Amino acid sequence: MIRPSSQEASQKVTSILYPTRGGDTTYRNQDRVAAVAMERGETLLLLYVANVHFLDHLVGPVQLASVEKELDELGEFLLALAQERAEKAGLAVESVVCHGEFLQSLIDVIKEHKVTAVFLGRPAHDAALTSSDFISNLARSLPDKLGVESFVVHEGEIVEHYLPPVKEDLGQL
Amino acid sequence: MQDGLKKLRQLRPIFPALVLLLALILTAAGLVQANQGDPFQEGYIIAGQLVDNQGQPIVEAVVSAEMPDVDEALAETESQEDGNWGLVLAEEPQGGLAVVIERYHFKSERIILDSSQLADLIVTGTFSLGEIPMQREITAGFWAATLIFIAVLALIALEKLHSTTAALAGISAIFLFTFAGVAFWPDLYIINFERALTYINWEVIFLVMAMMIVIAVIEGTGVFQWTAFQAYRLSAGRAWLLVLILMGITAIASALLDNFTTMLLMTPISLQIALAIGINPLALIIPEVLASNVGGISTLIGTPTNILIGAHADIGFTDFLVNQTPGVLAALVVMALYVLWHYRAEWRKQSGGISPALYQRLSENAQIEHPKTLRISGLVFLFIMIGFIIGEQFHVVPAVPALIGATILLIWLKPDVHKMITAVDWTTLVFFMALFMVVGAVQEVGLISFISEAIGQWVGDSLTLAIVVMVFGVGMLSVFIANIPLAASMLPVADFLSLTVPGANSKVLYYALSMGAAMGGNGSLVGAEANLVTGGITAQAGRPISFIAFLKVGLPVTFLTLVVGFIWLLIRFTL
Repeated sequence: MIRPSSQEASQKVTSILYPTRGGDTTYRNQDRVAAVAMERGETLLLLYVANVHFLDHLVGPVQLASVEKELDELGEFLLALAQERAEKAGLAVESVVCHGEFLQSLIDVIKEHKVTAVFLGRPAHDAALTSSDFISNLARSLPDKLGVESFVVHEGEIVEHYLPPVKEDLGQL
Repeated sequence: MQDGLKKLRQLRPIFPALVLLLALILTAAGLVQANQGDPFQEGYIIAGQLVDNQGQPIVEAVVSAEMPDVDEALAETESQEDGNWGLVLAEEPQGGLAVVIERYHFKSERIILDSSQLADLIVTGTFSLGEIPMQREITAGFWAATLIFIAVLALIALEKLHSTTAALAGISAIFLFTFAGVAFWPDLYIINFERALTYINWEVIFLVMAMMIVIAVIEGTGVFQWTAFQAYRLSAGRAWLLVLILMGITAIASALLDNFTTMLLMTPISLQIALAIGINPLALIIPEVLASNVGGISTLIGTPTNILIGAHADIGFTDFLVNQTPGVLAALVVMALYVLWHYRAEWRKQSGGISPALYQRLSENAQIEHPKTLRISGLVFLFIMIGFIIGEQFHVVPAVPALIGATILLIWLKPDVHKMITAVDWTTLVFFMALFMVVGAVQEVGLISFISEAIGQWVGDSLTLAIVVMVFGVGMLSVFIANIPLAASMLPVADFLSLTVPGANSKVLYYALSMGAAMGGNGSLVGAEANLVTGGITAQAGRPISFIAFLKVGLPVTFLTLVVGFIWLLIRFTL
């Protein structure tokens, strides 16, 4: 499910997509992505994907609807913090909160918005939900599969950059 | 007539409360079961009681009477729940008599009545062999059950399988061995299905189920989030004060509801508050989960282990409250001082606050959504608590007021029953049932008995040493082993020590087990389900809790709180 939290940004303008969970190292990455969006004259599209799969192994009373609602609100708050920072720099920002599988949500958002580039943050912790390999592989495959430019950022620096093929047919992930 | 109807309609809102009150009175009155006298038996009666080497009754042993040179048994019976058995011989035994006792996992006994015993039987018509101790026998089934039990614990600890699946796989493997034992090699026999069912504590199942319904209603009201936000407002941005208030709130909420739900709902809003004041969210959330695990010890319903212990050892709501709360409060104070010191750098880091827009969003996320539901569920919850307390006086088990309360909520609030029933976490209930059977199997083969004896020998007559084993031994194991199966396995050990150690009949060892299991759960991320759910949520906000990060604060807190809990139990029960 995709719930845009702001409809203010124009749908006609292309966007740079930055999925984030609001981790402690994300601010420098956010600043870098915002700077690129400003340079390119694009809007920034922030994405938060909540996933309740961590509850699968646990024994305890769980109402999934309640947990999803709480995580949605958490995601909206995290994105609002990021959005406020970017808007202070004069950038138009839109944010989207989804829940489910990260990859599928990413694909859905890329397809539903005019996304030209995706910035993926490299995980800062060993205990993070994704690995550096996963992020690199994803960044490598996105241009071929969805026709978007992709970047990997780490501590505010672009460490990987992939361009979409010029004339090839674009497949599906 | 119409006026009467109108008045009745006006009274309608209080009907559910009246029903609740009536139900409480009825349950409090209790049902007295008349003891049925033994039917008169004609013939010669030989009786006795079978006990194991810990003095515990042996049930379902086959007892038969045989005469020399007669192939067929004169009479046959099975020992009862209290280990008693009685053989009725229709005819006078001639030329001698032997009583043969057979039971899986015990060495068979053959008792030959001497001439004076036989004469006594013939003259009086009855003869008692008294208490007959039977010796345990280590069979192939013993080793199979032990390995399966260890495998189940390992699968749960390593998260290789869902806890429920692991417990189900364990009991399935046990039944497979049993069937193989019946069909091919009797030595492999562990426990049959009917016997395994007797180990399920239905009181626990129904209490957990009823409380799940009550909690499901309460959690939807937003009271947790509202309380956390009030803590934020009260603290006026002072992070050290905020963490203390939040620790207090989670400890109380965990004592009244359960720590898993408390952390599930408190963690997201606490994360937002921490980000709002500019501190590392883990400095707020880890102390909260630590306080949650310890706060739950105060009451019967605060932790799943307390529910297990309470039902097993007949310890009521008030007993937990009186005997645990002072120790828990002292442990919380020590814990609070430690976390204030441990995260001291964080309290200086806090930022100037958040924008009005973000504050508004935070406040919206923390609103009470259904005030009427909160009022009603709060009232019913209070009645349940009163039911627990009154019920103790009349031997009404806590599951009864909890079930009545849950039903009243369903009638009063008329929520979607399907939704409410799905709010009951059946995987948890199935986990409990399968776990009871697995633990029952290792009890049956004698593993728990051997462990109990070994601990008993080490402890000797010292109550202090017995408390040390329960508080620190269980506490240390609980750092890495899930505390529910650990507590379930340690209950028979506490039974044994309570019988053999002088002064332990005060049930102090059960309280020690409760403290050890819950406080030990703070030692590592995998020590308690509440820790894991908290870690799961913080990871969703890009702040995963690593095993080591949790250990650094959790292990010292575990040690300190175990020491405080131990001292409290010594003061309460030995001075």
